[in-house]
Amino acid sequence: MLRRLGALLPFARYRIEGASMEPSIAQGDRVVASRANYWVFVPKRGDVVVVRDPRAPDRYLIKRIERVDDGRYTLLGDNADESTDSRFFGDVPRDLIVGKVLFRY
Amino acid sequence: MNVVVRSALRLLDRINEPQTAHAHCDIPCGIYDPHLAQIGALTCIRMNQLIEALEAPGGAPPSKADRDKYVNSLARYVTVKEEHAELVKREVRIIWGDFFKPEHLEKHKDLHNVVWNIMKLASKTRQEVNMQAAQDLLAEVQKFSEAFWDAKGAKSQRIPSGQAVGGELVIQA
Repeated sequence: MLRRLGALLPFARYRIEGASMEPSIAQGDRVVASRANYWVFVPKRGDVVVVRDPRAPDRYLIKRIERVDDGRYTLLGDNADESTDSRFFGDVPRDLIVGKVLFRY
Repeated sequence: MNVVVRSALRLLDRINEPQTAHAHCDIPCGIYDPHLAQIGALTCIRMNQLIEALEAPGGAPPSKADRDKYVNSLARYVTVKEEHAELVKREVRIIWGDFFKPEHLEKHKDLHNVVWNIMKLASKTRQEVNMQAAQDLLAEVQKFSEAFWDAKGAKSQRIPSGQAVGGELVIQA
């Protein structure tokens, strides 16, 4: 229930597991992501985003938008050698993108 | 970033843990090779050779130019020795931790011990100018490499390194 309500908040905190976004974001880093950003703007190329895993929607991933094509988003990890991303699960639709990562803290 | 914001967020994290965002690679790539570890060990031997062969600067006291040249060369050899001993540890740790499975241990009962020896010898190779430690390190890494190829179900063989340092490399036959 709390999680449901949480989805209405403009910002969310995430702790990063894994190394697929290194060197920009490291394992164990904490980030703030803005949901509100995408209430107003469309996700664009270069944004680092928190996105629902298309294979398991309760799971969140963090990736960078590499390409936007007709409402489909190609996501890649910055550390391509250690990343499971659109190369594996394909492009994702807009509604899986949760928020734009603003900063680490 | 603002310290107040950061502290507030950290405090919030204590009250309510942040959610996890995964930045994983969930496909183990399955590509392992003990080659780099062996190159690392051979390089440590080579650096010991070069350090042994390095002539101390003559004169009492030696000229600044001679001393600088000597110190510079020595510093470079030591740095490379440090880095490559660490490379050995890193490569062996990954193969040992990620590749080897419990069933491999049944056949290679000595594996943990070999890895333990590699860790100790690599540290000794870093700490000292010690050719014997570097030679022993290579010998243990060769054993480790043979166990690796055997666990992969492949035959292996030892070939001359073909490098100035001499020594042998274990490769897939």
